[in-house]
Amino acid sequence: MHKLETKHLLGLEFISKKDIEKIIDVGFIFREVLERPIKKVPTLQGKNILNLFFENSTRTKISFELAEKRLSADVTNFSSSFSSVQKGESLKDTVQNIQSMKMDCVVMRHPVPGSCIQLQNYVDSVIINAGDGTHEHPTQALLDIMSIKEKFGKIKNLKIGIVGDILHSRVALSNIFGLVKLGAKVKVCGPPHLIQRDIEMLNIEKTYNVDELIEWADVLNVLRIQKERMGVGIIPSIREYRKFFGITNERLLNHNKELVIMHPGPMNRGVEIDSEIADSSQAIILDQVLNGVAVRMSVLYLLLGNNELES
Amino acid sequence: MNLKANYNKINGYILLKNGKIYDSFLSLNKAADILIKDGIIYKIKNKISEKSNYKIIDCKDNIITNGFIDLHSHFREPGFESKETIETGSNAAFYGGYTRICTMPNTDPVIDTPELVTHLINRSKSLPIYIHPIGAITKGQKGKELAEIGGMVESGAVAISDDGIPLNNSYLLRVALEYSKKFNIPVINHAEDSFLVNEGLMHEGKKSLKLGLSGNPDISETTMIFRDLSIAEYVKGRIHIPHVSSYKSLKIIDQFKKSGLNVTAEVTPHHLCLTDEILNEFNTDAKVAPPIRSKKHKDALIKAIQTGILDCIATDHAPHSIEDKEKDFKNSSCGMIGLESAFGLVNKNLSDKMKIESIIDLFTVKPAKIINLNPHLIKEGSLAELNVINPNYKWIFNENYIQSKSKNTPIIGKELMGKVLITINKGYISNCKIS
Repeated sequence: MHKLETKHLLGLEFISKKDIEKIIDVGFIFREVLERPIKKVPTLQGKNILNLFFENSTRTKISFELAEKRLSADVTNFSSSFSSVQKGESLKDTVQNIQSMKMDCVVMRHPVPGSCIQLQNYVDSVIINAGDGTHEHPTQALLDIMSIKEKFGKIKNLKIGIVGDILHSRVALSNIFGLVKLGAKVKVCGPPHLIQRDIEMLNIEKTYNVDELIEWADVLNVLRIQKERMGVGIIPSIREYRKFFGITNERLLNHNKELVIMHPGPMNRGVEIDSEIADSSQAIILDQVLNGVAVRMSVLYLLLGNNELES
Repeated sequence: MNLKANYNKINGYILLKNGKIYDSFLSLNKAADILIKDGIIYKIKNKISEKSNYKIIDCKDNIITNGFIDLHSHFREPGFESKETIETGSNAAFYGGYTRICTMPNTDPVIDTPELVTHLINRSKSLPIYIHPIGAITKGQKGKELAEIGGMVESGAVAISDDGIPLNNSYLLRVALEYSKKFNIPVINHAEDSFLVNEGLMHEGKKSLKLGLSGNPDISETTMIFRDLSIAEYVKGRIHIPHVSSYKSLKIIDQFKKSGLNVTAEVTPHHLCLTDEILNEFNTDAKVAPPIRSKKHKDALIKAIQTGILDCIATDHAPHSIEDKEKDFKNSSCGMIGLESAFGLVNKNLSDKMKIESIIDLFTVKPAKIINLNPHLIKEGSLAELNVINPNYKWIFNENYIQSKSKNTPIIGKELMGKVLITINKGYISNCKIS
C-alpha cells in the first residue's frame, strides 16, 4: 500500500485531495477491524508514539490512545496544562526530550494555532495535529467526512451546513478545508460576530438564519457552544442562543425534512442541540465516535506503517 | 400642578374641514376634507357635506399631516417616576404632536430583557401614543456583556442603545454592530469620548472661557463618531448617531454616507436652534450632553439638516425634577424636556430656509425610515394617526401648559412659531386649542 504524499498531518489545508481520500478509504478498512472480537493488529509494533497534550481533552486523547494501542504501538502520554508551560518552559525545551527519546510520532494538542507546525523545526518525528487552538483539528474533520461518506456514499455536491461559534472552531475550519477540496458545498451559520468576516473567501457561503440553513442542507454539523463565551458576554444568554440558533425539536419538526445531524461532542444538550434530536435516528453522532478511532488508526498506519496491511 | 389628561376618546364623527393634507409617506399634498368615524379615516374628499352629528373642526390655513415620531425620549419609568412617568411622558408627547415615541433604556432597571420591553409596550396600550422601546446594548448598560438583543427585538424593540453612556470598549461596539445585523436594527451609541469630555460642563470655546466653566471640546464627539463609523463600515453594520452637536462631525458623517455606509443621524431642537449664549446666566436648564455649542456649530447643523447629512429631528426629551436642576452648575443633571416645544422651535428656525413639507418630513417619514416603522397613513380605511398644524401660529411657550411632569427647559417664555393644534391617534383626540 502506497504511503501518503505528506509526511505529517498538520491540517487539511495542507494535504492533497488524494491523501484525504486514501485516509478515508483505509479508515473504512480499520472500521472493519474494530468490528472484530480481537480488535488489534500488529501493524505498528515497536513504534513509539507520544501523546503531547497541552490542553484538556478526554475524548480525543482516548480516541488516539485506542487507535495507537489497537495498532500495537507503544504509547507515552504527556499532559501539561498550558499555564505551567507559560511559567517559563518554552515549547522547544519541552519537546527536545522527544528527540532524545527517539519518538517516531508526536500527537500534539496545543491551545495556540500553529504550535504543531512550529514543532517541525525541533523534532524529526512524524507530527499529527490533534487540535491547535482555533486553527485546525484535521482528524476530527476526517472522521466527519468519513461519517458523511458512510451515510451518503459520496461527498461531491453534497450540501453540508455547519452551525455554531464558527469563529473559534477548529472543527469548522478543518471541515471547510477538507469538504471544499472534495467538492462538497459548505454553508456556515451562527451569530454574525462569531463568523469570520472574510470566511466566504474560502469558497463557502454563510447565513445568519438557521432555518434557511436547515432548508438548504443535506447534513448539519452542530458545533458546541462554549459556555466560557457567555461569561465574556459575547453570547447574551443560553435562551437567546437557543432561540435563534439552537437545533431544537420544534425547529426541526417545523421543517419536516430528512436531515442528517452531526456533532463533534461534547454536547450541551438543550443549548445548541436538543436531546430528542441528538438521540434520534437522524443523528450519526455515535458513528462519528467509532469512525474517529478508525480514521486515527488509518492516519497512524499511513504515516508510520512499514508493513503491508493484512487484509 | 397636575393637569388632567389632555385628550378624549373619540365618539362618532369628526370632520376636518378646509385643511390641506400632507402625508410624508404617500407624498400626498392636496386640499381636502377628512371625515373620521370612531377613530378611523372614513372619507377623504373635497367639500364633504356637513351633518348635524358631526363634530366639525375648521382647519383653514392648517396642514393635516402624519403624527410625529421621536427616536429619542426618556420616560424615566421604571425607577425615576418622580421626573416622568409613562403617562405624563405620553401626555407631553401627544400634546407636542407625537404619536410614536422610542424610549431610551436607561431606566432602573435598565431595559435589557425581552420581558421589560414587553412591559413598556403593554403600559402604553391604554395611552394615546405608541411606545417603541429601544433596548440596551449591554446588560445593565454596564458596557461588559451583550444584552439579549434578539429577544428584545422579537418583543418589539426597534433599536439598541446604551444612551447616556458611551460604549468605550470598541470591541464590544464591533460585536454589537455585527450581532445586530441579524435583527435588522440600528445600533445607537452615545458618541462622546469620556476621557476627552473630562467632566467638561459646557462647550469648550469663547463662552466657556468667559464663564469659567470647564469645557467639553467638540473633538470628544467627532473622534468617537469617526471610531464608530469606521467600525460600522468594517463590519457592514447599521448605525444611527444620536444628538449630533458639532460641525466637525458632519464632515465625517457625509464622508461615510457617500462611501455607502448605512448610517443615519439625528439632531435635537436645542442643538439646532440654540447657542451656548443661552448659558450666560448659568441656566442649568440648558445644561445638556452633548453640550449646546457656539453659533458656528449651530449654523452648520442647520445647513446639514437641509442637505440631508442630518436625517431627522429627535428631541432627547430628558425630564429632571426641580431638585435635580436647582443645584450649582456642576452638580445639576444634564438634559431638558423637549417634546412639547420641538415643532414650534424647529419650525421657527427653519421656516425661512425650508418648505414646510420638508420640515414636517423631519418629524415623520425620516425618523420612521430609520427604524422601519410603518405608521397608519392618511388614506381611507386607515386608523387616524394625524396632526392638525398651524405652521404660522406664533405662541409663547408657557410653563403652565407643560404636560410633562418636569419643567426643565430654557424655552419657557420664548416665542415659537408653528403649533400642533390637534392630534388624533388610537381613537383619541387631543383637546382642541384653536387660535
